[in-house]
Amino acid sequence: MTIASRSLAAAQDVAAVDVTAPSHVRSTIRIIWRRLWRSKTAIGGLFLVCCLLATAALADKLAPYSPYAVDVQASLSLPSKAHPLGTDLLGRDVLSRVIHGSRISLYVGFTSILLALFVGVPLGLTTGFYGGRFDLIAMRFMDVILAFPFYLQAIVIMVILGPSVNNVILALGIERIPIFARLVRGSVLSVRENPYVEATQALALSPLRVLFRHVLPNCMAPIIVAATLATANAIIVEATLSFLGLGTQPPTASWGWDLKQNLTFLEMNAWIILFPGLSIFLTVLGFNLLGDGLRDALDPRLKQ
Amino acid sequence: MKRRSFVAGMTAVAGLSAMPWRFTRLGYADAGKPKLGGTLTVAYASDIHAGRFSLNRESPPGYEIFWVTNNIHNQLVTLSPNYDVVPDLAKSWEIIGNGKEYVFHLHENVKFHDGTDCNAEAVKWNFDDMLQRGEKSWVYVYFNQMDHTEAVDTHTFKVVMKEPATLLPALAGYFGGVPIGSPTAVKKYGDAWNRHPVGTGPFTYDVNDYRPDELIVLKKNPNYFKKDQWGNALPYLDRIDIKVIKDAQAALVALRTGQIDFLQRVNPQHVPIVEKAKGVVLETAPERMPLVCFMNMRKPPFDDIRLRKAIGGYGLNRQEIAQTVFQGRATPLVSIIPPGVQDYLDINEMYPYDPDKAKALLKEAGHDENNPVEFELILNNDAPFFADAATLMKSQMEKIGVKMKLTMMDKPAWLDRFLNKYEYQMAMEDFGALVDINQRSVSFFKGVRSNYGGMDSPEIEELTMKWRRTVDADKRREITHDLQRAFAKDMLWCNITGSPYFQAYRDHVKGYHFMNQLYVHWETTWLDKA
Repeated sequence: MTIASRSLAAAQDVAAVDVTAPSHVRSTIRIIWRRLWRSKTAIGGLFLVCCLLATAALADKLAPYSPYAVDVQASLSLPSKAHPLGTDLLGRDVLSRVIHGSRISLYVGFTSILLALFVGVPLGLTTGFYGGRFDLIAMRFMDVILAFPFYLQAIVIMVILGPSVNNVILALGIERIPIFARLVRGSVLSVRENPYVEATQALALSPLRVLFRHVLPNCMAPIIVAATLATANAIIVEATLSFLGLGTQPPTASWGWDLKQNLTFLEMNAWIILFPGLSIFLTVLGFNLLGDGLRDALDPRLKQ
Repeated sequence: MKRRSFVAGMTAVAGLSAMPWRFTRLGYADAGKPKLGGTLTVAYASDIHAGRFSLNRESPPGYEIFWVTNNIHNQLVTLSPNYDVVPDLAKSWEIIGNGKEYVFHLHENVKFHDGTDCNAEAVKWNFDDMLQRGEKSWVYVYFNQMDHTEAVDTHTFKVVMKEPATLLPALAGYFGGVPIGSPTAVKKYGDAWNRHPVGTGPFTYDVNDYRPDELIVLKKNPNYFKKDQWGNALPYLDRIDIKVIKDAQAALVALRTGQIDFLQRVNPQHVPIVEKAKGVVLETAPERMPLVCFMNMRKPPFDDIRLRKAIGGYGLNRQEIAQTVFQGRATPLVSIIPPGVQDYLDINEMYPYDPDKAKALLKEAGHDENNPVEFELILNNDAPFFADAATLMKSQMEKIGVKMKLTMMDKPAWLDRFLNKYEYQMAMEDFGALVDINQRSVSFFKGVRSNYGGMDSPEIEELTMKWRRTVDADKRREITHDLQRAFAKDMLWCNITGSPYFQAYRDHVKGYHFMNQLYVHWETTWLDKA
């Protein structure tokens, strides 16, 4: 977001003009999109993420079988016309399970980040803007959460709460809160020094309006980038926890769990572990490329 | 399985009692003359009870600790590779009054690792310690018919029973029975006694070599009392390094690449790979351990016999699980004891797979499509095949209109819910390798801690006590058969299949005798490599 658009936002408040879908927002998105488009890797990432979203949305239509359909006669069969990626020990179609596995991955990825944003962003805004004792206490608390190794903390939370998909989301969400809180706080510290923020003080606008209308939009760039990258990470953590048997519960299709369960048959039928692993790899790659592209596109200093 | 029967009052004296039974019984024509020295590297799947050797005087440890303990300690009697009761510290014994008294004649000049004498007084101290601890000692339930013990003279030890009863199977085979530790060491180390195991066995243990979750070291006991058939001192090995490798895949790779010589447990699903591996010997035998789905009879739905019979009887396709999950390497199992256990009876015909009959029973109990039975199965991720078996079971349950939810948890959380709180409806586990049915009886009595399933059957308790009072092995066989039928009749214990056990080692490991989980003895093991 440019300086011009910032002051324009302030000017709008000053003039109390209410414009829906203001032209400056449209133009900003256009600029970002143009920059994103120029990066081939970012478009590649976007393409992967879109494919994944489509797969998850259309899983029931795309999958040739139910991911739970057991067929013991077809146990551990190699790829064939009937089962393009082969079957697992219980004769379940690997392709169908990989397709349905995307749902769990995305569900965990998105909801855990939303949870973290929902708590972390308001926390960062208020602590950064007001400072003081509340800031001090809240940030030390965040430090405590950050001080523990990530996986250790996730495993401890899972062991306490018991293994389930929703608890994975909760564990990941809790661990992500400090990251967003600190990121937002840092941005707010620099944003609040701007003259247009001073102007809102002079106008005695309500604190919520100042925070969410004038401060938050100017901290969006790092939040978007961090959220995209964190989604990729959340997908990996979900797969890891499921691999350890602490995440998604069988027989629900999950890439991490399928990877672990089929690992036993690595030497007898490598196909069945190749695809859950490949899916995790492509998904994470997609989110990471997109995240990197967005960072470049949103960074005003890299403007060409 | 053949087992030499013991006639009451007979004096069993092994002619070559000073020699270890492993040689006297089998001979070594194939293996050649043992080579001395070397380090055997072993992989175990878990740590040994955090380095605590409680000599069965505390709560139950894991299997791994028995398999370490039986190389550090001796018992009065033990089992041969044919599962006969054979001399260990006792060179002979007499059974007096149809099992009222047992007199053991001990080997002379046997020393503990700390140099003190292992005589009748020391043995008496161990037995008395176990009896004094009572229920706190988890094997006490096997020995609660003992009245008192006596040290008749320096090398004669006597056990007096409250009533004539059988004793030798429990002493020889039930998780090591009463291992004999040095009383001096126990007193010397005080509260830390269980971290300093001092026995008479072929190998010694030093707590300073122990690295938690990583390595257990056993070293040769140069003063071991047993000798081989040529009169050479045992053991042959200088040292045994037991590495903890939790991941079955990683352990298998370590064995195949020669980083380890001996893999304590091979995942049954890896057997086709091991069979093809060069230079690796694979051992197995009929199952001694069952794959159980415990039904908690304390609460719904399994307090209802009709639902137990429908879900654990006719609605469970044991054959399908054996064929698919274990790829035909396991036996479908209705009996409470698996085929490898003494006096097993094949009663699978009592519950053929019959979904219609299962549905009829469910209907009789008031359940149909609109009111299905729902329950949760808790399982742990110790063995990868648990989840496969549970998933297949879930699909079988769907066929009879029963909703089964799977909850997978780590072992400690699972143990807490299953062993301590009984907070479960159904729990899956491969549970305890057995010598005979009496070894399982810790779970048969109402009101005892280890009654995990909520047994409340006077008939079973009566039959079990009758078994214990019977010294004649043929008569015990009949009682064992009656017990198996009684359990199946009311579906008091739901086994799915046997849980096959596979062990593998490099082909340069010689003189080892596979004992299907009951023991892992290395006193006669040697390495045939330069």
